[in-house]
Amino acid sequence: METNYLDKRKSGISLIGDVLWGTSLCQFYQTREDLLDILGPYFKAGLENNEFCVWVTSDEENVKRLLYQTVPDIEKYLLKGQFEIISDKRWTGRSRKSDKSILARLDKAISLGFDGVRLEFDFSPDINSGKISIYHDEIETISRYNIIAIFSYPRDRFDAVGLMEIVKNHQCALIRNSGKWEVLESSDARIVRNALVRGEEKLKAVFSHMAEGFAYHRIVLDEKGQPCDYIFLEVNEAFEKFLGLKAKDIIGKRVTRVLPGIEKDPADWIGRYGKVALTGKPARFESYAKVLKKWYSVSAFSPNRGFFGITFSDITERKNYENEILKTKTEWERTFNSVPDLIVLLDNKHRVIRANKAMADRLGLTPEKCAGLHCYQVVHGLSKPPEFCPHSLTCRDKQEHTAEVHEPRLGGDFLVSTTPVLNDLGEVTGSIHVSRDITELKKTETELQTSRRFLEIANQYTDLRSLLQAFVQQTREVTNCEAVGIRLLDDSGNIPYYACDDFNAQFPGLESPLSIKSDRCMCVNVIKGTTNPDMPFYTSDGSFYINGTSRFLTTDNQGDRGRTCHVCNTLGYESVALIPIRVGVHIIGLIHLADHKENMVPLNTVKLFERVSSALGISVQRALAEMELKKRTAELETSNKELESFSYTVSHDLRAPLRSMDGYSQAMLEDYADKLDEQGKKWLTNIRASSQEMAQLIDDILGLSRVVRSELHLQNVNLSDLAGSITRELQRTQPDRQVEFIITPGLESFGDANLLKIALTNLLGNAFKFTAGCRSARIEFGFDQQDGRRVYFVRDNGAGFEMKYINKMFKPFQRLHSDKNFPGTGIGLVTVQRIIQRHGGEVWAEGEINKGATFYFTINQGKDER
Amino acid sequence: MKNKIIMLVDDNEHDVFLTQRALKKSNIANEVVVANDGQKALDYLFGKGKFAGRDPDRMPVVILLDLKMPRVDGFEVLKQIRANPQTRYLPVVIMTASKEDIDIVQGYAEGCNAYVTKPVDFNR
Repeated sequence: METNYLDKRKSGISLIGDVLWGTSLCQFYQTREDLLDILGPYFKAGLENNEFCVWVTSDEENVKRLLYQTVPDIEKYLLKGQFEIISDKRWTGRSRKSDKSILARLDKAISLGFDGVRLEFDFSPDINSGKISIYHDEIETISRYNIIAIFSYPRDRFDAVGLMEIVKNHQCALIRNSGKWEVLESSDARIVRNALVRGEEKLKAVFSHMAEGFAYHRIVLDEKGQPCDYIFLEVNEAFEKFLGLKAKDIIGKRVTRVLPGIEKDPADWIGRYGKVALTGKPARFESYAKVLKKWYSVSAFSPNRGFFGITFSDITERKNYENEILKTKTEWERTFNSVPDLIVLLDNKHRVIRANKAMADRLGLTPEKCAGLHCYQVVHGLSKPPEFCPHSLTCRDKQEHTAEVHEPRLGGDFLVSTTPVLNDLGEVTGSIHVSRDITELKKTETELQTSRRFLEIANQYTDLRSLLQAFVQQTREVTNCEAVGIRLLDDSGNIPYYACDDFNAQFPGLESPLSIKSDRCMCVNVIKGTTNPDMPFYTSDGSFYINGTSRFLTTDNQGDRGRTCHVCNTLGYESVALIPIRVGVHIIGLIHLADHKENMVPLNTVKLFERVSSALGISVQRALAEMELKKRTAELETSNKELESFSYTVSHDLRAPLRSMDGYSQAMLEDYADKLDEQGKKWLTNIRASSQEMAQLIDDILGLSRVVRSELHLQNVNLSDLAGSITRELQRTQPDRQVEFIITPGLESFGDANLLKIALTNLLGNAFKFTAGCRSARIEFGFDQQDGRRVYFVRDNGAGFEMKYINKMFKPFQRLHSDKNFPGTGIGLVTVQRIIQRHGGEVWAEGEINKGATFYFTINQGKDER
Repeated sequence: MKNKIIMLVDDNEHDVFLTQRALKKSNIANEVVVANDGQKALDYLFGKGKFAGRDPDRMPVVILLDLKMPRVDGFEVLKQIRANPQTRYLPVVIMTASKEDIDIVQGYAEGCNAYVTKPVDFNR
């Protein structure tokens, strides 16, 4: 059965054909049977087409009888409740108005699942009034809803004019004329009807081609009259496409069957549509259909009560897109506001477009309140941008700029960078202004710089007093403390002040003599390292600090109070800090800071000094070591001088008697020669020789002691020249001897000229001595290159020596030849050895009996050239 | 004939004897006046103390001066000799056991005319 569920309804009356909802017809009857001619098929059509039928009559009994005749299965419909016969009195009720009843019937019909209401009004006009009522209101109401009505009037009650009056108000009229029923349709009505039909066709065209989905539904109410379902009456092609459903599968079906689960959808489709259908108020909304997993933009309207139509489009993609954007926006917002850096977006007039939470908090405003303010005013409190403002620069040259800014209003130092924001034309519309709080960093930097200055001082001074003075000065500058002192632990366990600046005059006098055995002062605890880190006034590194001594002394710490130094407090020092000076694990002293004001020694300060104190400690140790060294050197020098003077005196005094012995012996030999025999002369000669020997010995010993003790005066020495002058001198002492001297020229070295002269004199002297018996004596002075170093030698071809006695050669007084053959004291080589050793070199010898000897030596003072 | 007096200043009697002997042996026959310490030497030169009223003709023509003497040493004597206009140009020969450079230098600095070390070779 093809049913057209739009507004066209089968009237059942062949003369009329299809009518639209809202049509009210009138019928003029002559007999009651006339009524049935029309009403029979009329209601049949209605009943068969799912319409709720109501016959309002004043003649109930007859109507029932009439119906039974014309509609065979009327019983069925009555039982079903699809047909109602009601008296007019009951219909109108007390108000004598029937539109309420009409609507009530319509609602009931809809709730029972009917398409609409088909009415028949059949009641005699008021006998008494004689007035013909024209049911304007009823007609009006009917026209708006899914209702069809026939108003039946007795023909003979009206004259022609009256008739026309009634006909005018209805779409058409049915009149029996000469036994045949005829339709009287006013031309207006006909025009309207045609227009409506054409309109419907247009509508259909739009309907099927429109991009949006369209559907028309009838709402279904539950027992309580609440919308609980709806029936698809019409859907367009777009609808089919959107939902993936075919019209023929869903028309006439309830949505709860077509889309199961829709009743539970949180978007409450049924509820919302129901409201539209019942109130007639249109609705527009965007909702998510869980059942279809799609988003729809819906426009719902109700042309007739109980019915609603929707136009909709699938906005799932757009919604997803929107959600993405929203998510991104939210993420961005969160990021923007959680970043600790202060960020503002400024326009090119320095106004704040947007500030993040960090910035707003710092300014003490909400982000909203920041907008529109001039940045230079709200941040810097100025009436125009400051010179350093990087935003101004960025606006000018479209480049990024960075600047370090100190702004106490925002609490410190910031690293500010501005990035330009350009519009499509490449013009600067503003900038993103980011400030990073570097206050802590700068503070650390400053602290590092301060530490470094202290370290520099520690390294710069080697003299103890200067070191401590400089340290104390720097400390005062850095801490602004009035009084700074440094105690050092001395050997006797006292910790006097070695440096102190600006303490109250009595203070050093009272406090300097303090022993570590005393227990009356915190200084002792700090020096001994017996500080308890659990106490708030001790640090974990063993410092003591109080920012308000008066307050401290009134606390109940019995144990510590007994040990505290009341002197500091008595003299009015409220801030006191004692920081130990450490060297490795030992504490060698402490730094004492004091001030009359409170809070001059915060923990930061104490920690700073803890950091630099070990550098100071090392320096102090070094200074003390230097002092010690100086003292010892001085002592050594004194002792040397004394020794020198002593040796000098001794040797001088020792020589005098020798002189006498030698002198008298010589005098005797000369003056008493005739009185002496050979032996006597011999013995006197021996005496002379012995005393001369002794004199020589004294000279040698004196010489050796000098060599050992004297200061080295290092300079360039031409050894060849030296050897030359020595050998010339030697030749002069024995001019008759034939000696060949071979000296390598140009041998330069670096050392003490005097000592080297002595060494060479000894070596060449020895060579000269031990070649005395040689016929062709040959003495050489030259050098070899051995193992990459220059080795000098003095070589002779004289008496030589046995290598097996080499160990004895360089020992004092050890001689390898008897005095008879070669006079000598045995000191000479020792002296040479000492001299060479003092030059950082080595000396050794090779020899062979009667072949000669070679003495090698090196001078390791670094500058041997060529 | 006026005697050209040689003054010998030395505290060691043996040195004195041997020097005098050496002078004789070298045929230097001048009279030798001996002062055995610096103070006596100065007193003689300036006519002081024990030698007050000493004959002015008996001023020595050369002084042989030892350095190491007790109380007033050779340098002091030399200094005073050179300081006094009366004696400034007297030739002074320092005669000493010391070969030390420092003494030689100081000797010449104070204005000695020669410096010889004992025992002296008078031939030289």
